[in-house]
Amino acid sequence: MRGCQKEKVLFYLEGILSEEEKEGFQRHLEVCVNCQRELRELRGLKELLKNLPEGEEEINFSNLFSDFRRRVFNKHKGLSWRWALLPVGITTLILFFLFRPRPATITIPVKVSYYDLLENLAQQEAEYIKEKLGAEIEIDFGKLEEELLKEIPYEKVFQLLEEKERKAIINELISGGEI
Amino acid sequence: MCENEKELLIKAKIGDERSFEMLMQANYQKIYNLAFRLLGNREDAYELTQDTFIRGWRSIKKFRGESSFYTYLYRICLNQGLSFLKKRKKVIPRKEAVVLSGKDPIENYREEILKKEIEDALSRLSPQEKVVFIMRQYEGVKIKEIAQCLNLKEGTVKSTYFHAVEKMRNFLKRWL
Repeated sequence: MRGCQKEKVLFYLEGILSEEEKEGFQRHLEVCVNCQRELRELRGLKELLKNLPEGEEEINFSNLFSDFRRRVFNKHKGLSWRWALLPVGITTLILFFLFRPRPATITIPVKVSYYDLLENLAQQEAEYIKEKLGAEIEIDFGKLEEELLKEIPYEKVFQLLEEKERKAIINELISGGEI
Repeated sequence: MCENEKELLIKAKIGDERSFEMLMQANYQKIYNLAFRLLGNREDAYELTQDTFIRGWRSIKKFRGESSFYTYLYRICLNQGLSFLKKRKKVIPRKEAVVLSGKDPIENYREEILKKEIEDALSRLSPQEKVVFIMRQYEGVKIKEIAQCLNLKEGTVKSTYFHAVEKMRNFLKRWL
């Protein structure tokens, strides 16, 4: 018969057809044996499906709520495995800091007299003082060397200077024939 | 939504645990039943119930109170259940002992067999078919609402439901 649609039978039964569709289908249903049989079967199925149990036995609310609390409200209480890993993380960071790879030291194969270096430093210092204070000073290199040796090792004195200045000093000394 | 529920929701939104506990108490069994229908075994249903309440709590500030709190929860439960079913692919039907009631033993046995066959038939539906079918058949949710809840078109929900009913009818043919 024309107009048979299985979907329509189901939607008619479920009451989800529009008014217009419903009226049209009802007229069709009165004369269509197939759709009448389909409707009977679907009604039977709906009845049958009522047999599915409501769910399960009652579950214990106290257990459910305490599990919920543990997972939500108390999530920061107690030591979780993440917190337990904290000391390991800190130790790893310290070890990495201590034994971190460092750039290789470059040794400059130039013999520079320590006295020359001091003289150069002292000259710079004297110029700086002259510039700032407008005063001429004389520096006793011997004394300066003594003082510096007491407090600061040679490497540190050298490191106090900027890279540019260090290079300038070395170049000057090289050109001055002090190698 | 009743006044009491509104009040509890307002308090729960500002972090009151006790209010949320009361809201949970009023809804946990229905949510568990729904989860059980979807997943078919106790352990998974319990886990889904937990998950539903945890998500419900975490997003409670977004709940505008346009529906009942149960509607809000079952939406979470269904969406989570759907993801769970998609991941699991195959639903494990429960294996529970047959509980004999005081009815006629033959009738009782017939009912138990039927229940198992319905569960088995449900487990053969695709995750989406199953969720749509349960929402419509057992929760009585309107097609429009199912579509909104699962973010699908109404036409898709209708055809999914139709296919699910057809499959169920084929699986349970001998009972009709």
